[in-house]
Amino acid sequence: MNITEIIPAEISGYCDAGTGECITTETGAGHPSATENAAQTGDEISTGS
Amino acid sequence: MTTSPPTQTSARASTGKRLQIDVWGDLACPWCYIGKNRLDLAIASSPHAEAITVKVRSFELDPGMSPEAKPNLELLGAKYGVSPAEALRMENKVGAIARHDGLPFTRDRVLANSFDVHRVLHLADTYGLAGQLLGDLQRTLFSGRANVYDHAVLADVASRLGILRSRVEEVLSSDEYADAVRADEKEAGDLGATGVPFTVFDGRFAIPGSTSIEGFTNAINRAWSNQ
Repeated sequence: MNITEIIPAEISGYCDAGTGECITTETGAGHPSATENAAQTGDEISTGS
Repeated sequence: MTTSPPTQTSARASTGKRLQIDVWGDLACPWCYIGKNRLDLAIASSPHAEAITVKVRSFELDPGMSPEAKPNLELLGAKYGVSPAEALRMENKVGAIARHDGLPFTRDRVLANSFDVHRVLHLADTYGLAGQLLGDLQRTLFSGRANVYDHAVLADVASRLGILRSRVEEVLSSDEYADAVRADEKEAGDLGATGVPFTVFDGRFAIPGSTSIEGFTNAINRAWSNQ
């Protein structure tokens, strides 16, 4: 396996191996509250570990 | 670990081409759960679906996690020092996205060390059922129906798919497939993966995280056309 390219896809979220934090970058119809959305700054953290 | 998703049409017969997609992930990772569903949908709607193979690869987000299952929110607070209200808000955000995608999701689930789960997934691969088992385990865990880290529950879920329960128990009572799990994790590190899901198309094109169905579709088409 020889990765030659990182595909420039818009990332919705991932869990970080170093910290175990799960970062949510996607916003949209799935979000529970538009008001809450507007109040957020930066990424949201969930847990994967 | 390989599985072939449901297919609609066959491109293999006309072209002879194949596409392998390697996906590193951890059971505990909600974005691996969401991402698997989206990737499966992208594959199922691809004209190349029958020529695509998905390989489930092992990755532990926290190898030091206790084997004893604990409530997700309790660990979230303990690890990141967030308040219960903040922890709930974090979970609500990813949970809303999962539910919007049609996936059951509850914050009232448990977390534990996933090493044994990964070993059983490697066993499932010998049956061609790794992807299916992973999907069933994810849905069971994230719906809060059961603690799939528990060996009896893990054996139940696996045996319902046709995997011999005695083999699951044999694996769980030994260190079978431990080397395979560690080899997957070493390869992920060698490839520079710093998080999961980490998806590699045709051994060349990577997506470091979950994306939309459209994003996965574009990656499939790109890898397919560049073969």
